Amino acid sequence: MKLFVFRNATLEPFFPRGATEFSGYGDVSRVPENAEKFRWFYTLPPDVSPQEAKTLTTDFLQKLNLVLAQIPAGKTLELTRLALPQSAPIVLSDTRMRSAVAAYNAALEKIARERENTQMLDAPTACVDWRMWFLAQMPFAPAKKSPPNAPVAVPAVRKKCLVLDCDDTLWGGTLGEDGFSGIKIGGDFPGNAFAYFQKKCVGLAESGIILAVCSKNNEGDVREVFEKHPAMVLRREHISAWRVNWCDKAENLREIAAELNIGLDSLVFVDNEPRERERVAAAFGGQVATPEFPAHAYELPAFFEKLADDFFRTEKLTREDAAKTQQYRDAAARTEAAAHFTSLSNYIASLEICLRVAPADAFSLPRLAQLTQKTNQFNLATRRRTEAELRDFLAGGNAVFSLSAADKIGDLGIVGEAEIAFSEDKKSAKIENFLMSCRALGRGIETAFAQKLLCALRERGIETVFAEYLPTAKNAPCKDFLPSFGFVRENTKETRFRLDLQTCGKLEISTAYKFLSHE
Amino acid sequence: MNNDISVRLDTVFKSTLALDNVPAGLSQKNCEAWDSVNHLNLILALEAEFGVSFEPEEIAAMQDLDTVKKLLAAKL
Repeated sequence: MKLFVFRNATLEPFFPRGATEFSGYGDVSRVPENAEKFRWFYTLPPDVSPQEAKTLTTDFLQKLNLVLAQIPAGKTLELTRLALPQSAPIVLSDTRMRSAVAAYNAALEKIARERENTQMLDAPTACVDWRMWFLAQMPFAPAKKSPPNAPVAVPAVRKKCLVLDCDDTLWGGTLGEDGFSGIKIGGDFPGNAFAYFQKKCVGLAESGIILAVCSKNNEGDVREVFEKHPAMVLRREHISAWRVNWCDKAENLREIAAELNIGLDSLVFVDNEPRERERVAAAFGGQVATPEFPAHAYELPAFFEKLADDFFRTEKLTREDAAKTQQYRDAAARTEAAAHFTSLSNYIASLEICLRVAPADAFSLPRLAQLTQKTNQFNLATRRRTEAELRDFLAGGNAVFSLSAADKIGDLGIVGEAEIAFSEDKKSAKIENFLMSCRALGRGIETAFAQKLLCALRERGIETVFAEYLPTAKNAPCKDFLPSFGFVRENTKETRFRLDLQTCGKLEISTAYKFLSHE
Repeated sequence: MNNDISVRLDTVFKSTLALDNVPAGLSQKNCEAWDSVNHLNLILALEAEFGVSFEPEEIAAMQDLDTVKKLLAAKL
């Protein structure tokens, strides 16, 4: 291997195939000795918010320090500068993003000065292709050159309130038809594009813009989504006025303006339905702004930038804006770890990783089936399942578990899946599938997940656990996983392993992981 | 699909997937090299070669040569 790239996003298309190897996403647990050269190539996700920038760049540097300690001094290391995200902040005087990026690049330069055989590489200038970001976590597209820096537009008069429709605007699909677990929000495309839009709306709220919801739906259903849906970014506390009913939207907007004590000309109404927009535009003679909504979810980032340029960007915050902003910041305050870590385990402990193991339900089944289809690297048996197959498996008295993970940097969602089949006498169990998404590797989460499962099986009175490691072209990373728990091969040629739960001793789960209980 | 386009399409497949020839019925299921990374490379190469842009739903559906041909032809 010539070059090994440490990365946190999809970069493969930018390198020739064959000569380059890549770390897992954000994974610094492996520094291969046979690499001739190393490259540090971390990028900010294009949807990063100003307050996340500092947390993320601090985390990048902590990871880099762990790597630095392990790369032999004689080997070449290339450090790639970080680019500023292309979207301007809502409040132009907000320099948090710029300073976080500048501080990170300065830290890289310091390393380059002090370490032999170290070179700086310029930040990529290509621009983001949102389609490829939402589909494949690709932070920029090879063919797209960044446009020349145009001056950022600030509207002559800043609007005060953004009124949002729900179905196909804040999430994909129709709540009344698709149901709580059927709407598309978070996870893969298009849900991640709607989550992006919501995140930008939260950013507006934090810059003093009032958010309101106006939707033709059952109010209870919509409130349940805002309160309980795990993937929602917008929450009840962000919304200052609600009109969820089956009444005329123009009438609802009039009431919202009255309730908030602002003029109709302070409202911007965002709704994917052209008829609703036309109705509102006509009712108020164009006083309420009704921007056209994009046809494709991956166009939401461009739509949001236009929305910000036309109505919401500002040079500075007014005093009232700032007061409101402070409330949100207090509510969302995150502690910043500034320490440098010398060991991976200390670093992992500092991440405050929270894990949740839960039996599969209607909400998680589609994601779990998808994980079995897509996961290649950390997948013991690589049994591909459809949602229907998982349902059949459950109906046969077996168990399917999901593992969700979050840390102080953010929520990873469902990243692990395990399928357990029980013997008739309930004395033994077989792990049919056990996998972990590559997004979550390198933090020891897969080990904690397995330990938790084995403990739970023992508590259920299971005496023997069987599992298989079926080698594929891609799943070498989990080759030694089963033996690490004391599983032994049934005989030397077999792919089948067994573990005697009664004699295997204590299964200790590291205190670095906090398990949240489920109902 | 005319001959010129077929030839260009073949070239894209050959160079992206490192194949000597492009057999009829080629699909993600029967081609080891057509993995998720190369799928992305393939889409990017097709878009650059033909100056087209695929919708996310199309990208997900393009799991075999015939579907790729059909979706590409509709854009040319």
